Amino acid sequence: MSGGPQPDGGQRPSTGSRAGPVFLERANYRKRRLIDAIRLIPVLGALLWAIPLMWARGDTPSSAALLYLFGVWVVLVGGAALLTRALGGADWEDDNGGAPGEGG
Amino acid sequence: MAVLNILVAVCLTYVAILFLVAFMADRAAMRGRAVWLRSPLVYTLSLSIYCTAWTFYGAVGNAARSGLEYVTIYIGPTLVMVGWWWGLRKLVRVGRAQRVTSIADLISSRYGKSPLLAVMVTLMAVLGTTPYIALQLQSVTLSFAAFAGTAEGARPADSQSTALWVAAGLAVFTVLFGTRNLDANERHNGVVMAIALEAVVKLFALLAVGVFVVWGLGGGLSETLARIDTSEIGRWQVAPGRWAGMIFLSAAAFLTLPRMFQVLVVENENEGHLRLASWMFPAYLMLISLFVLPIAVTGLERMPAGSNPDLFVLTVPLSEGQTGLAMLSFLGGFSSATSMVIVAAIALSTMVSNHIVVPIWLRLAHGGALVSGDVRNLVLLSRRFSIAGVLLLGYLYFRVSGGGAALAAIGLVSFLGVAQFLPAMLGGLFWRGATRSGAIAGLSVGFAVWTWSMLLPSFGAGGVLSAGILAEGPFAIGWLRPQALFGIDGLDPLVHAILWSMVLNTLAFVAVSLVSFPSPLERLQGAQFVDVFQHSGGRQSWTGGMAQSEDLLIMAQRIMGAGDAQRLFQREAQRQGLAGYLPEPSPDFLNVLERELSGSVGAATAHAMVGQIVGGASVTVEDLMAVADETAQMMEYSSQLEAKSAELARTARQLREANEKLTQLSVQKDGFLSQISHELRTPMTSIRSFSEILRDTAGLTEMEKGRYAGIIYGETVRLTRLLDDLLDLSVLENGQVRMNVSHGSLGDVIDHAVAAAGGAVGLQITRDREVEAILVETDLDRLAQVFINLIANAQKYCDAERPELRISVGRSGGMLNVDFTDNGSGIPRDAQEVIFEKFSRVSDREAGGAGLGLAICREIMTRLGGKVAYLPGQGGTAFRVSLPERAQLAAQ
Repeated sequence: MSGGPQPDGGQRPSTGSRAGPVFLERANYRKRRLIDAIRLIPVLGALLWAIPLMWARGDTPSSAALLYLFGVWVVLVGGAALLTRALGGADWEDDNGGAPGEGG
Repeated sequence: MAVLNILVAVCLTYVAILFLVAFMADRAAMRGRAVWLRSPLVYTLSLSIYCTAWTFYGAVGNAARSGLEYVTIYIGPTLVMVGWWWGLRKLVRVGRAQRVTSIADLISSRYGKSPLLAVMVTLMAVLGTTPYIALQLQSVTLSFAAFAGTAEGARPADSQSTALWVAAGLAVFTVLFGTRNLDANERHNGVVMAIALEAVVKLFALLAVGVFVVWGLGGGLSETLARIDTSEIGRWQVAPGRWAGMIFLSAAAFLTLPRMFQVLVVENENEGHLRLASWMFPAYLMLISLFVLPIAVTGLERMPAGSNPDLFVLTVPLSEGQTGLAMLSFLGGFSSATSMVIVAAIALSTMVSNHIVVPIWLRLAHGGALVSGDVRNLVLLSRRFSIAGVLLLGYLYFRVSGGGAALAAIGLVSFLGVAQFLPAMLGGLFWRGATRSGAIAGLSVGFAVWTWSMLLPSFGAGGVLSAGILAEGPFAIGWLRPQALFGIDGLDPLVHAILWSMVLNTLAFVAVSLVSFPSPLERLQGAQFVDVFQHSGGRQSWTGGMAQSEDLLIMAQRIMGAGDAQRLFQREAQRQGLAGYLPEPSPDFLNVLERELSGSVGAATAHAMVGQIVGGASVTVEDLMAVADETAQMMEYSSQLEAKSAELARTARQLREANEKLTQLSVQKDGFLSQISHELRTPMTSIRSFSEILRDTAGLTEMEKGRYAGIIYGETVRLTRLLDDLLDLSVLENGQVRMNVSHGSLGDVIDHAVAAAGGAVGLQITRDREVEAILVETDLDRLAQVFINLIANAQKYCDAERPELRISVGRSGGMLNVDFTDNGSGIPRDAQEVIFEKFSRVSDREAGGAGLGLAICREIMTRLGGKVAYLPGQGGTAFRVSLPERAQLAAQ
């Protein structure tokens, strides 16, 4: 609905319509990076929880292992909580980043 | 025994509270006050049915046997949850957009709504879940027995009756709250609320026992840690393969377990709830597994050797004399078991009834008594029976297996069974090239490998598979040894089964998908699943508000009429405080609109139409059935209308024809009247003028008088003849004439006619008397009248120099034909059609005729059963008189 898309036209209407005020663009950018971070949490978790694969069996004390594993858990939960809260907003589900604007 | 009685009382009270909570929640939901029921917190807590009695009792048992390995079961789901942006978000979106009712529904609808796949997945899910339900019954029974103080040596009759009572009670609860109504969204408010409550109870119970163990018995945190290190599980001893394999397995099962799918996707009210659940549920998992190791260590220290580590959660507080804590712990385990069984039974019964019972019934019924109410009752009934059936299966498995194997082992068998859905599910969500054949191949291969390498060996050597087959393979084929497929030895049996089943499953799925070609419906569904964010994105709901309203208005106008629809929209817009015709598509407005529309097109159709525009959601089977019903009724109605309208059209046409005829007749009558007055007027005028001359003129000679009187006489004769003709015609036309049928020779009739017409005066008549010698049976006088007319016509109108008339007799088509042909110039083509009408005269020559002769001929011939017609192309004027053969007797 943002102007008739004319492929042979001189300018692309899609980029033209997306170019909003600077601070919105910046908020949008922040939001994308936030989503990137959310995407990375499970990768981080998988990496950290893969470390026990290298532990020597029968050598590592269970208490240390326990503390490490639950420590990772706390980090993941905390990180996920912070990031999803920061994401906030009603248009959190917008996958393609084309949202015209968000609350500020 | 007093303790046991208290335990039973507490149990019953707890169950009563659950009933009450479920009942209140259902009531609140029905009154539309379910907002708080559907908070993200309740959603998160409902996910906790992942933690079953296996968690509650089995995790401690597992920890006591193999240390920290148990956390893998919780690490997997944690990774899935914190990775919600990768997969869960899409799964939930697809589930909501497609109104998926179960995992079988998801897979089947992704692959072109394939019934075969749905049945396969359903059967596999039942097969995979039955041991799990048995496990829950077993844990409740064991814990009950532990309380009774006869932990290991429980009398079988007791334990079995306990299990039976528990199973029956759960069936009643599930039927009551799981199949109360047939909601299109398959959401169960009461059940979810009860589960959320149970989630709190079990977490609280486990934490309470943990706190008691660490601070009550262990003497604080650091001391407990130290004791852990000195215990027999004080060193890290998890094999890397099992660590990775079980994390993967639990993550896969978290997505594919029917009950998890039910709470994760089907019961999900709002995708936004995932945000809270994405970190809160991992936190729940962390908390519930936090004290497992300390409890296990304490149990190992304090309980006598050989006691069942699966029951440490219960037996440790009991042995310390903490009956209240033990009671709480028992309730926690009871909660874990019951909530899992309830949701699993609901999920399975939905699948069984939707994909097996109802299709079979519909096929058998052949649509015979297919009315709306019928099917809904059938679905509910089949769900109730499926629930009872699922629980019965679980109970039977429990009785047959005897409750021997460790809890964790049974759980893992189930996990790997349902994990076989994973390739088909993820492939369907992320890969448009995935096909139905691929999914069927992958599922079959994975399930076969699982059965062979995990399910059957789980019954132990000598169970289903003999020790020989386990050690040597079937028929001594080493490659097919259940726990060392393809000759690869030395793997942990669990890792071995995970590896081969998942690898072969995925390979078959991908390979067959690559070589097969999907049907159009598959490709359509594939696009809708994989590109779900393009089809139903938040973007649409962001910008689409007014566009949706506009679409709704267009649709409403088509159904309700432009005026009514616009008035409705304007009213609603005003109520929302907006100007113009387009209100926001709020739920209130949609309800109003749907109600309005349903008045015109029926409820189901209205719902589907509004849903199509607003939700982009596809229609459920129930919707379709209702639509089909209504459509059938409408079609019947419309066909009735069509018949009526055809009848009306026919009547209208007949009326129009009758009207035309009447108009024509009226015109004819007018023409006739003016003709007749003209015909009468002409002779009357001359009669009047000549009689005036006779009366008023003196001195007329005798000769003049005689001439004038002659004229008057002649005109009177003409008038009389005209009136005779008219009378004749009218009598003939009214059918009042009686025919005097007699026998006679055709030749005689013609003779008579020629003579009556004045003989051959000025007309050469050619005849063939031999052919004329035919005996006819008809009204000879009338026939002669026709002949006279025709001969007289020839006399009057034949314009040849030497007029001739040929009278010939012949036969054709069962008729006896008498042709009168003269050598004149004939009748022009356009006049041929009207010569038989009254008062029609071809030439303007005044020949004394009134134009009634041929009309009379036609009437007479019609009365005689024959006809008279103009015969074109004979060189002159030719008339053919046809008589039916029956009028002709055998030729002499």
